[in-house]
Amino acid sequence: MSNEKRTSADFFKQVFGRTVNVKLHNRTEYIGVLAALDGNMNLVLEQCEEYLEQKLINKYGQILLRGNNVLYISAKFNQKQQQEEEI
Amino acid sequence: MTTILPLGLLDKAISSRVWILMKDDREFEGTLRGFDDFFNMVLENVIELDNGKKNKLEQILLNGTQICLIVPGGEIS
Repeated sequence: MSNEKRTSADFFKQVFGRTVNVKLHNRTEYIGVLAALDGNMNLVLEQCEEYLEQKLINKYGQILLRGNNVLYISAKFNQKQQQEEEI
Repeated sequence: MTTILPLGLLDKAISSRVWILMKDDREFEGTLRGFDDFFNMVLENVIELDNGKKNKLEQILLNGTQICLIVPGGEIS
């Protein structure tokens, strides 16, 4: 793991095209592929699933999420490996 | 006595564990990788504590608007 300072701009660059889990202040989570992101944390997610309390409630082809609602954007690396380890 | 600015303290905490308390009683503990002027933070190996539930996250960008308190070197209670 590098010890360079990683700002939000670096995070943005690294996270495009990845599957991310976006949690809102109201505890709703969105898991989808990150298509766009700006400095206000507005997001475009594709092939997105909407979860409330770990339960899937909706699926969307493409959504625009307003950034003021976002609590965090979580990215997974080595996704497949992680899932295998959990099993 | 030299002046320490808030963001200066945060800069010193980079690469170490930090404990973050949000306005709504949520907690995050993770390795601080970076931050910006708005207190948005990049954290790694994160534990999220929400209503007693713990959640592990590999790397997150945490929105700074709801951050209340940051403890360098601190741990989730």
